[in-house]
Amino acid sequence: MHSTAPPARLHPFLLPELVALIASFLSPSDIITCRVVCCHWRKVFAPFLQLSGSLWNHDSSRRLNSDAVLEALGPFVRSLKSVEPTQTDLDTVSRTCPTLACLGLSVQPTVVVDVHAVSRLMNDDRMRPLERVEIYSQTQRGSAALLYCLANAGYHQLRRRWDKTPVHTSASPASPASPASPASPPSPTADPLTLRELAIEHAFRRGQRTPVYWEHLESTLMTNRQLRRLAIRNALLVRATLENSNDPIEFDLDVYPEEEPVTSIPGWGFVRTILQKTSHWAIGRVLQRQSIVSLTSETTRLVFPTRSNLRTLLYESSSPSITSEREVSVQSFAQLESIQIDNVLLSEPLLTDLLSRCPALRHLDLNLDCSGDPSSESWYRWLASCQKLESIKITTSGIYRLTMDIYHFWALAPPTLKSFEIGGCRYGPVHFSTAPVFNGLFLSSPVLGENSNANHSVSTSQAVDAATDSTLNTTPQPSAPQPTATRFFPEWACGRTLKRLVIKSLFGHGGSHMDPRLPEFMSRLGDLTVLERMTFPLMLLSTLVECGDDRYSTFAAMLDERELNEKVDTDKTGMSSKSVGPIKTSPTGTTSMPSFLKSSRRRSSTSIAKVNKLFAAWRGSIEIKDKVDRMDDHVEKPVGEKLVNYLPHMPSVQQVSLFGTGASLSPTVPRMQMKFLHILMAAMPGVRSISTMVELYGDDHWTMFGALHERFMNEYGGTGVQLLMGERESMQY
Amino acid sequence: MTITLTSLDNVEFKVDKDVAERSILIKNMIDDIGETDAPIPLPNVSSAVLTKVIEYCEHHRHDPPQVQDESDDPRKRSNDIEEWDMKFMQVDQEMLFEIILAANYLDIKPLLDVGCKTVANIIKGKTPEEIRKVFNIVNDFTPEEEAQIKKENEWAEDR
Repeated sequence: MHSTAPPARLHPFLLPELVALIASFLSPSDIITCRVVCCHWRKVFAPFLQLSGSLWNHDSSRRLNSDAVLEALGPFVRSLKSVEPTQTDLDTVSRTCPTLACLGLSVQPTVVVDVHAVSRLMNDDRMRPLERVEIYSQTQRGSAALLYCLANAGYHQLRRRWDKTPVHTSASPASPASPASPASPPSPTADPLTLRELAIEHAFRRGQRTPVYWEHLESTLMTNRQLRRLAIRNALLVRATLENSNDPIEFDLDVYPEEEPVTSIPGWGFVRTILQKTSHWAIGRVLQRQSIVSLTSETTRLVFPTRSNLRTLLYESSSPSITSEREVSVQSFAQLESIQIDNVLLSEPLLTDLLSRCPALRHLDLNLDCSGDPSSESWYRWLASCQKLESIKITTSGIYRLTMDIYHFWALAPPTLKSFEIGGCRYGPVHFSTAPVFNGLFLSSPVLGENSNANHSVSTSQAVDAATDSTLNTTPQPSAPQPTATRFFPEWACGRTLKRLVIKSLFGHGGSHMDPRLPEFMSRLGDLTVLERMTFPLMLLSTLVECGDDRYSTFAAMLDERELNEKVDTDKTGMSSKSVGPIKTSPTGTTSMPSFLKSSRRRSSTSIAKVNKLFAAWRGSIEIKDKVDRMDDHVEKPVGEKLVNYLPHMPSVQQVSLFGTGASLSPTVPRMQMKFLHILMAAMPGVRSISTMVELYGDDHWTMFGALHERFMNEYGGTGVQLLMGERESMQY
Repeated sequence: MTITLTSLDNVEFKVDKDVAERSILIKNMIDDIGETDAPIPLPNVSSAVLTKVIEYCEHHRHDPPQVQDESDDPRKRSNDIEEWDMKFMQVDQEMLFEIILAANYLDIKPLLDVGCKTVANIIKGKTPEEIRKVFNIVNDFTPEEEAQIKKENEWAEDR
């Protein structure tokens, strides 16, 4: 009964569509409140109540009267976590939560997972809304058992969808689960489980990660063909067996907290059947059909790099629908759009194996624990297969170095890429021993394993050789680079899509040699025509400024001259105490200084005005000059007195963030100077804010920043550009 | 061109066609019957409410047509209301509900949104008792039901 007084002829709260609209502007807590107002509101707002809760059924002290609560609120529960998979509680969940979309299963060390109960839940027709499963396990057996259940459910779903034969409850030698509870047999066409998101997290045990078995994960991904998002956290991802594997030693057996025979791993027989029975007609046909569907919806060619040890168990090359031009493995995880691997220890072959089978991947977030050196080759092996990537984020955890050859990313980064972040470290510094400038960019050795390549200064010939590796030869890429002896970097393939570039290069102590590819690397940033946000270490720029490269000599001399003129002006006005930082002269400044600057050495007021005028003119003409410079191969040509900026023209950039070196132990943190701001302002006419990290100003950072800010405002105050100083956490990466 | 609208209480309103066509209902009617001098009856809208609706349409006559983004999460919709609209909606509760119903009937989505946002903003952050007071609602729960609801909510809020 609606009890609003006076009774209206018609009332918004009597019309479900209006209640729905009102509820759409309310928070869940407001909707809960509304349900307490009166009986009518309790009824009309019920459909819009979505609850998230945790069951804690393994913890008697935290567990409330969950049965009664689920009976009352079950219909509104969209997310239920911390559920220990016991038969009683899973039965209650499936019965009381018909709209459950997210289920978090938690396995304690002492618990043996009831695979019958979990399989029954996953195959229950009432669990159709379930889209996301989160697995939190403290043992490898727990996650193995749950993944097996998911693979089993996916397998039965595939059979129901494609197979006209009746579903057998004993689909595999190791399948102990019946596909459905006797009380609610699934219809032959029903899809009880449409898993779209899977998250696996392991707890550390005795300070070590516990394994997630690759075979279990692989079979889950293969059988749950609607899976879109995968996340793995705090785990060791390993193959359960090395038999028949051509991979070199992928992991150190010592890292296993608990060694066990593979035959004792839950669901091993079923998983093995899924993966190795090539003659299994049902799965083979299903996956073949899936791949054909995937292919027909593709407009671009899908190419999967083949490897000697890559199993082609289910691939039927005789299929008329798969043309020779469309070399594709039916083992692909065709629907997977997002992968997050966070603090996971895994081998390079496994990483390659996983990623190279994800042609639809759009978002990749890798936070790797690289206790070894990843080979530079590993990256392009899979990158070529992921031609729909929109964002890439690769960071490291631990104190280990992450190694990646930017060359391969540069050449193979797909034209869909919008965000690109490499380097960085969440927990500590990354150490590099040589060639500090490019170590953060030229990551040139492997994740874990055999291909330890400690040589960080990859020579040009090595890079070229790597790019023309046999893998690429057999599966040529449309965007594959055609490197020349003088040009290290081809044009960015993602130049028209990349909007955010973060290079958190980390420079270690020791070593002061500049990588000879740095100038071209920086000039190639001009290819990024829609780049809006950019973060990079100031050391990248300061090293370039101090390199003494002839092509920048005119520009460097002009900046130095201007700096000196400003100092003279400051001295005249008695403000010398506010001078900012040491003013360094380019090593080649004297010899390459152009005539008009040499003549202004006397620093008469006329010459100062001349330099300022020239500087202003240069700022106005830099765009044209940069365009001309980019058209020329300026590596080969004499520079003369051309004004070549250290950074190319990047008019689309709106935000720039600068930090020092990224390495707290580095003794040579560059200091922020006005000349760097001149360089940025000239190269980026569309910039709105320049964020600088506090470490760039030394101990007396407030004074230093204040002085620099004053100079900046005098020079560029009319442009509306903000110069900011902040801590690393407050800076927008 | 001018359109004549007739309200529930037989009051005629002459409005420009582009103003009247802010209502999808009226627009479809004009499209169906063609241009005519005959008044369009609106039997579900009183003259007082229609006056307000026409005022809204007059003010927003040059607004671009609203595009419905299907991908938008309804839970993330903004509750922001433009200043003019907020003043426009400063009416008594009965009129507010009438405007919402009229906007729903006449199919004027922006006005309907503003009306429902206004109601949602009234509800937001209030306790059940405050809501009852604002909307003049009688608490018709039994004590047992109320206790049960409280228990449920504790669970829901505690999780």
